[in-house]
Amino acid sequence: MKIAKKFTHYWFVIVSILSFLAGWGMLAHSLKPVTASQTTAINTAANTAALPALPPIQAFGPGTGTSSGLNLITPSTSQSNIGLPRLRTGGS
Amino acid sequence: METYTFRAMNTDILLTAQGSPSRIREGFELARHFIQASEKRFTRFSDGSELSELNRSSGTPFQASMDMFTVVSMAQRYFHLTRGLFDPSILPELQRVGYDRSMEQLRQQGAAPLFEFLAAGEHPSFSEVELDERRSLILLPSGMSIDLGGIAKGWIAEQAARMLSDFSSACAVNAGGDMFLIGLPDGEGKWSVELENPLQPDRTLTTLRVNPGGVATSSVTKRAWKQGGIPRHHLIDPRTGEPAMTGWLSMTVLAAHACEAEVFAKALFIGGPMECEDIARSSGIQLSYLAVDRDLNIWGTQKNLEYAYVH
Repeated sequence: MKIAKKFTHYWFVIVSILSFLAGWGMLAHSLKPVTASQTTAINTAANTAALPALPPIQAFGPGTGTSSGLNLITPSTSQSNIGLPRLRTGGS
Repeated sequence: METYTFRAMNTDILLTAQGSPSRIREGFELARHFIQASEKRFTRFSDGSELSELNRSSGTPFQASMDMFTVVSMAQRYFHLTRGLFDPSILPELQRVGYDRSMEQLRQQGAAPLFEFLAAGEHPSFSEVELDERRSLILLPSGMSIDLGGIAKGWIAEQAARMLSDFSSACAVNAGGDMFLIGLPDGEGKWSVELENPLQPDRTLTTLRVNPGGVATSSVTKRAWKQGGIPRHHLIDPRTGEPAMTGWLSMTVLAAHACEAEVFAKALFIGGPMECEDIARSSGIQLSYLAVDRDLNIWGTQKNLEYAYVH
């Protein structure tokens, strides 16, 4: 009984050491993983070439879209209103 | 020109007229009396007003005064012409976001928190309001309450100006930015109306040169408050029940009538850059409009370019 117990003990130790060494060897000889930053760079480069250029951000402003038809108004020269009451509008 | 100012409808009223001073003073008194009487009729902040009585009567026919019937009839017409963007029946939504008391009280006391109100929920469409012109009866569908604040202010300004014109060759009534102009001051080809800077109301962004008629501006910077830290304003988009977010700060409309200008200033603001022109065109009403964005740029259709001048 004592011999069987010792045999089992040594068996587990040897198998453990051999398994560890085998795993080490497999990892040491496997292909190196590609890092996340390398993957992104590759994909981005590929996608950029396929996508059409975005319009400038001003194109999203009011007035420039074809459905709104609004224009940016640049006020012109001043008009005199001396003597007239001061009428103001701006919401209440 | 003679001017006369007083406070009514929670805003500053300015009357101005050209002619004999004694005659004009008579006209000023008449116009002021009309404005103050109309304020009592159309306010929603007084339980004793005719509007409050109308709202309490929902579900049963209400015998309306001629003025109330006229304004509610116009409101229903503009509801259709603006495709529902002008909708007096958004009162529950307005109250839910905190505008349940006068703006003066709201500024002093702050808004009630959102949880004090039940969700506004579904209510009947304003198009379901029934009007009996012959008997001057208004039937609001059960559960409906309405706010006529904006359209009534425009209508009151125009009626007061028409009264004043009996005493004057040229006159204007300005009710906090909603105004009606009749005739032209001597030697002038147009009226000058200053457009306020929405971010600094004491400053002028530009001066508009306008023909006689109505002018009105809707802005999100004047009637604005916070509810539990959330910025709110009074221009409710009926499609969402929430204050409209368009990227604009104000919308100014010039039209033949003051109430038209008022209604469309609100509707075009809510419609925003992508819908405003379509709404204006499909209404069939002659309108000119100018929007101010957050960078204080002024936007408008090509035909509006003639109206804006540097101050």
